Amino acid sequence: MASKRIQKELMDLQKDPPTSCSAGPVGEDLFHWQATIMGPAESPYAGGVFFVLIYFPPDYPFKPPKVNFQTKVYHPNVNTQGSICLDILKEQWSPALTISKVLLSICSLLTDPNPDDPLVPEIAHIYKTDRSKYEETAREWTRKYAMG
Amino acid sequence: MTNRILCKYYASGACRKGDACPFSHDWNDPMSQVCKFYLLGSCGYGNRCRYNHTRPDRATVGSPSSPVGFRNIPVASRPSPQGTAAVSPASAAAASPPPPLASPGFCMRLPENFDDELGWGEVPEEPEVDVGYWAKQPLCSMAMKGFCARGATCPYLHGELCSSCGKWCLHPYRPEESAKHAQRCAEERAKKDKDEALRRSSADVECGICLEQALPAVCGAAGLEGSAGCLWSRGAGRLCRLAFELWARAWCMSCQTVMGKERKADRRFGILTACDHSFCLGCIRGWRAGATTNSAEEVTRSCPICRTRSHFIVPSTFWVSCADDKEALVQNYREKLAMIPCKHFNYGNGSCPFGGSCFYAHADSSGRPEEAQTLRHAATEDGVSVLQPVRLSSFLDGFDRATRLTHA
Repeated sequence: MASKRIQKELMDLQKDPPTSCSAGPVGEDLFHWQATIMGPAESPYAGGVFFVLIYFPPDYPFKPPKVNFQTKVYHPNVNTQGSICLDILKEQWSPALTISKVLLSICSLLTDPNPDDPLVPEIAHIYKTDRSKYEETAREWTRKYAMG
Repeated sequence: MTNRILCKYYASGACRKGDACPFSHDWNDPMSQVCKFYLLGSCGYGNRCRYNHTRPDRATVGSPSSPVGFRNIPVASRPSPQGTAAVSPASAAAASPPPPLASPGFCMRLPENFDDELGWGEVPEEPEVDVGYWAKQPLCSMAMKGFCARGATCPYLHGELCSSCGKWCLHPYRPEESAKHAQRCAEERAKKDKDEALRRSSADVECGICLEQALPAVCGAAGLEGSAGCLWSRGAGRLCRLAFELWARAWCMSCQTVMGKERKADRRFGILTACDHSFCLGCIRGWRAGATTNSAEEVTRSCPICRTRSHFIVPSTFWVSCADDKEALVQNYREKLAMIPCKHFNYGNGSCPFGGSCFYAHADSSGRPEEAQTLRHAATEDGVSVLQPVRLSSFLDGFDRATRLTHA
């Protein structure tokens, strides 16, 4: 069932690609994908292209896919290993969610960080106390790691 | 007379003909004591046979097992001179006066003096038909299926064609029974048509988990020209199911457009009671069964799309969109479950964790329903605690352990 569903998602992605992100398998393995997310225009990540690795579990879609940033991101909910703190990738996962919906959720997480449930408390603290400093650092990281 | 002989099926409690049975349903009447092997001319027991070796009087006995001569066939039932008789379905309803009988099949061996015996060509006047007698006669089972090799020489009555079921099963001398049959057939046909319509409307409903259609959809070949048009879309719902399955698989796997689920058992919907989102039964059951912790159960018990909590799912072969239909489906499902004995309750030998709210039947082996157990509360130091129902077995357990301890 898992491979059939992944194949179906891939077909849907190719047929109707979402704006600002793209995804596809790496090599022959259907359970290992790479995706790109364009930094949302109204965020300090604008202009950056962020690479994301996706691993599907064998019992997908009953278990959530493992999604990690490959590109370094300065964000309260993304740590230096690229792990993402997003409820729909953990306990709030639903089998009705697809990879394109997950990528869109990550896009909106980039626009609106959730500092109340942070993965990196320091960035969350800066985000809450000194928004301009956070934006500046995020823009600098984007220029450094997510462009060119 | 057959109506003075006790019906052997009635005696064993299995006569399906009811009032229409030509044999007696009165226990005071004797069963037939005539040896049927003797009648055929070869009873192996000879004089020792426990049954009567007497030939019944041909004039009085017309039991279905006794051979009936040509002269017993009503003149009206003879084949038309043009050959095989054809009867319009419309004449099936009009049974008074008895219409000419249809004879599906043809006469294989006619006696040489057949015409002379019946005196055809000489009897143009009103035939004398004993309606009362023929109304008691059963229909020929071969002709009912569509072909009787004996044709017009068949000693049994040949029924008329029922336009709904396509069987030659309308008794020409029992108008009420024929009308009832026609009505039943029409109801069955209406139900089949409704099912077909439901099936067609559910064909493009997609499961929210596997993102596939649960039912085989209308084939993409439907758009093709000529003979390649999809049989399903041409109204092949009435085709042999197996033939359709084989055909659909062979055709549609190649064009990659059809077949939701390969296994027929998987082609069912799991209807959530609280919302209107569609899922395959297998998918939604798989998701709900995956919970390991309490918090995960909170999530899995809710709809994967709208997260509305549904306490149970109802399997259905069709997708229901109307609220009334859904309510009827749920009601029907619960009624069916209430007939099945609960395996936890085990006829009173076990205890069911769902108690009084269990969907399955809680009755002991004699069919007596379980007494409603009221939960008993007791005030303790920490507050109020619920007392468990007291069982004799728990005392015996304790007694067993106590005696073992004293012996040790």
